Amino acid sequence: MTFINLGLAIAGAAAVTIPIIIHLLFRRRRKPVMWGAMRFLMEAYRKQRRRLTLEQMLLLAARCLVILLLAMALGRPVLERAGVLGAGSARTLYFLVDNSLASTALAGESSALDAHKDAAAKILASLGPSDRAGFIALGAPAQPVVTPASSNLAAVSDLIRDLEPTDGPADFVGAADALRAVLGSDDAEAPEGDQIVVLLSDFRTGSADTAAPLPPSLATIEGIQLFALAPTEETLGNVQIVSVDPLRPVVLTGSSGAGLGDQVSVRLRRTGSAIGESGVSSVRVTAVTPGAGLNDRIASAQAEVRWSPGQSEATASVALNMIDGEASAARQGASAISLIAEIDRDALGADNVFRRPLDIKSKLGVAIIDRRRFGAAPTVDRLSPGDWIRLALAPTDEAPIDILEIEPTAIDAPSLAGVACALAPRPDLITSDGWRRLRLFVDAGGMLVIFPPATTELHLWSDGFAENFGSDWRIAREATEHEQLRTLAKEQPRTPILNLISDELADLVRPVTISRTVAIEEAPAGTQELLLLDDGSPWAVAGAPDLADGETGRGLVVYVTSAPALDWTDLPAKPLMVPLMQELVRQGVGQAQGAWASVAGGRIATPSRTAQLEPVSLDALLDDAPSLVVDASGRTIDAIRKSGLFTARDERGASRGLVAVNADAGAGRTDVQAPGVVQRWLAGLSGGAGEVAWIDRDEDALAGFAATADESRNSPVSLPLLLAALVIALLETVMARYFSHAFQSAPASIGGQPA
Amino acid sequence: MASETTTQTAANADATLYLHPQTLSRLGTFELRAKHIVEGVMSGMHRSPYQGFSVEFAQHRPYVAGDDIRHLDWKVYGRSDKLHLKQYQQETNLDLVILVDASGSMNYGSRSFEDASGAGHRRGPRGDFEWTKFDHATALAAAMSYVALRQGDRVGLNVFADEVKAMVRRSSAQGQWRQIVEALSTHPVDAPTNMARVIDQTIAKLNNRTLIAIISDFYEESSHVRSALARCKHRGHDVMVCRVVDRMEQTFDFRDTAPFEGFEGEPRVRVDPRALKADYIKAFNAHQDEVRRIARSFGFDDMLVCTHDWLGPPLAGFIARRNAQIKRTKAG
Repeated sequence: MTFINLGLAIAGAAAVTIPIIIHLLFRRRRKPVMWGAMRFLMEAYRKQRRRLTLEQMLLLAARCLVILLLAMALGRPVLERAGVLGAGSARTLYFLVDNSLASTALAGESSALDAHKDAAAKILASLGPSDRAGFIALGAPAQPVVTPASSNLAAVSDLIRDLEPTDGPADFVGAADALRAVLGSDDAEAPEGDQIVVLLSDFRTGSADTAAPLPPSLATIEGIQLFALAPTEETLGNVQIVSVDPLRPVVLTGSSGAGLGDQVSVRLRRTGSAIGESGVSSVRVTAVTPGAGLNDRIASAQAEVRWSPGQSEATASVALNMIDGEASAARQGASAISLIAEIDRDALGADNVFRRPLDIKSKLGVAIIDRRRFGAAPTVDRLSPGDWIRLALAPTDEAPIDILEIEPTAIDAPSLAGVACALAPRPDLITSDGWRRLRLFVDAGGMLVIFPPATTELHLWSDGFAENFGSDWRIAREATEHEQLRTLAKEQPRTPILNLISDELADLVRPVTISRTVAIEEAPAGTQELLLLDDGSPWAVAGAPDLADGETGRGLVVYVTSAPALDWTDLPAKPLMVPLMQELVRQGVGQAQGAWASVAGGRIATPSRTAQLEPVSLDALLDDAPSLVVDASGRTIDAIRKSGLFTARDERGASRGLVAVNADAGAGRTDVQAPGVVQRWLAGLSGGAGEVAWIDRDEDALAGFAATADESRNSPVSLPLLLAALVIALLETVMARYFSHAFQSAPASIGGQPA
Repeated sequence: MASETTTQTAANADATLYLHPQTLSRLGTFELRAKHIVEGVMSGMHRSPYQGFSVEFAQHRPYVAGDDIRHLDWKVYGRSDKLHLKQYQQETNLDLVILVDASGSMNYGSRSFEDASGAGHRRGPRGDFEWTKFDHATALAAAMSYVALRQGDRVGLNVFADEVKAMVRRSSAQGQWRQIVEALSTHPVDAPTNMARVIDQTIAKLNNRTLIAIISDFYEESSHVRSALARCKHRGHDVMVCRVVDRMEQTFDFRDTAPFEGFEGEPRVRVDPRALKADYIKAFNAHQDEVRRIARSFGFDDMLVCTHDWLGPPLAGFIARRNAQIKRTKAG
């Protein structure tokens, strides 16, 4: 409840003390009656005392209530079912409008975001000229659209009406921080009146991740009131594409590489009410080239997923014949294609489409960092590790791998620029500057494969490696001679890099024996064990280098503990060598480069040397969208809130590949949440000090939410209060008359006269 | 000396007030007669219970040896040849002891003194404006003693509260009335009534049957009243119970809420009189009925005297009823 005339209401409330004061004053001023027959009076008084006290209290309460009701009526209150909306003075409302992916959930013809806009418009319409309103869009990252609050309510209303949905999650934390910056900073001009925050959201699991507690960002702001639309109870089923994983992330168009990347795995997830039902989802995967229209498809395929009740996740495997398409794309000079997976339309549209760029290369550039061999080709027993690697990577002339030899002492950026993978069989010859350049190469999405040098007893090279790739890498300084030949474990872990040969791996590793290793003593967290020795110790591992801030970046480092030399292992002479090197390089390069498929809601990472992201025209929504500038860190300066496909271009305008931005599958969960859970979660914003008050979604509640705005308008509660005061006054009169006992007649005989 | 003169003047003025002409003119037409014929030492109009030899014949009885032959009725002997003695009813004087309650509760009065006394004074003898129950009781006592003394009766007075505060011995001497009036010119005290104790103190000094007039509001436990009257009955005394009440005490006709405070140290209570009126009157009437029932159970006379009524009518009515009762006793 609030008052238009707060002063009158306070003064009236203070006037409640008047009857009490009068009551007390009259008690004092009455001259006592000296009475002789006190014994009879006391007898009657003892009988009636309790009843008389009750009567007096009732009368006093009724009189106080009459004054209180009159005071409230004069104060022109406005009652709200949702709670209190500020005082009669100027108020500042900040709307936190959920335009995240979950807000696009269709309920009938309109979306939840439309309902939020309507709610905001109704509340804004009920505000008065002295009120101000601000507006923060919750779609991640939270966007302060109108901060600080503006008195131009119509403009705020227009901005809210024009709010577009995003494809990311709702950023409550960012919005709270923005609010704190406006309301809580010492530099900010202290806003007058009440500070009211209105959260407009359905609070589905996609928007409000109640499992992650909110920081107490608003705890330090005095007098802030938190209101929110009550969480929706309408259950919606949603099927979303979580990921699209091609069998080969890098498509090599060489004659022997074509046709291998035709399998695409599409992972689907169901949320909300859809989980409990059986159903069928149709998955269509299309490969398109950038710049081409949607009709210019390279390849297209379709599959079906049959859901059983209770099933929430499924994977569809789509066979995509890209042989012709790749050739076509190559003819067009395209360096990348994009897979676009789509499913049937449901409650949420944005997560029904998933874009996944694929690199197209005619040949994969691979560098072998080894001393060049001069002279005639050696015999088999004199092949160096570099020779074995070269043979394994390019067993024939048609192999789609270009091998570049780099002198270990002359590692430079231009030579590394043309390759996606570098293999170092002689790391002992790499200088510190070479290690530094290799680190830059890896950070740019390159792959580095290191073997211990076959001819060295002391392996001091590991110091330079650890210095540049993180102290978490610790490699032994001496080789271990295995008196008894070791073998590779029969059961090898299943990793993405060796996934394609995992079924044959047991047969391939059986004949391999190992006599010497330079063991890895410690590896960074998240390192994959690619191959294991028979004692379970790692023989080959792969991991991303650690970044300074603790994140794991792109790029891949693979360490094989044995040199590919016959006096270390007979692997080079075994059938495992070729497929191992091929898969290591081809899949590793794909993993090192990353998918370049991010989710909306943040600054997007781009391929190296990207200066800007240019929207691809096949996304109609982004036809007129400007290019996005990329900063020195390789991320876009501005956050990307909508899904889409972009072409990464360097400063000269050359293409650096495709970058896809997809809807955040986590933000598309449509499960409803209990109001109590959401309330406790939101209470975290204020450090648990205050609770959010729910706003009913019906028309009256929204329209009356701030009904006190127009001071010239009559209070809708004044008249009922006046009537109530009148009723209480009448009741008081009746009670006073009844309690006065004036109507009671004395007994017939008086004073003990004889009858 | 000057102050004594002033006091004497005040006492004279009080006496005239107590013997208001209107009151005395009503009383003058009746004679004060006792319920019982009491033993008196002075001749008067009252009949004695002791059969003696006086002027009024009572009965004959057979002569027995030792009787004084001077009282033989020779006419009977001449007609019947039997010896009989003539007996006469002896007329005696009345002993009247008036007990006036001066307890705190007697200090209440709701009638103006001027209106009650008719004397034109704006203040009472104690400087108050109200005609209190004690004023009414003293007026009644003065009137009764005046009438009794005029008939030659011996009259005594005790003014009491929790004990006897002032006493005038029984006497019919000239100037006795003046002493009574002076003794009545006192103030009520704050103490409550202790009637049993006062009765004990009074009857201890009575050696003959006496008419005891108790003028009080009897605001005491009824058991105590019963105990006091029972002692009088046991000693053969006759008692006139004069219950003095104020009209306001009977009607409790207050309108506004006010604190009420007792004269005898009762705590102050703030009450709405209209709310308590019914219960109060019920309790008041119950007590008055109980006192009247107790008095009548002992065969004593009881009368209610209201401060708003003249002294004459209730007193005259009482005397008239007493005379009628005595005549019925003689006839029976």
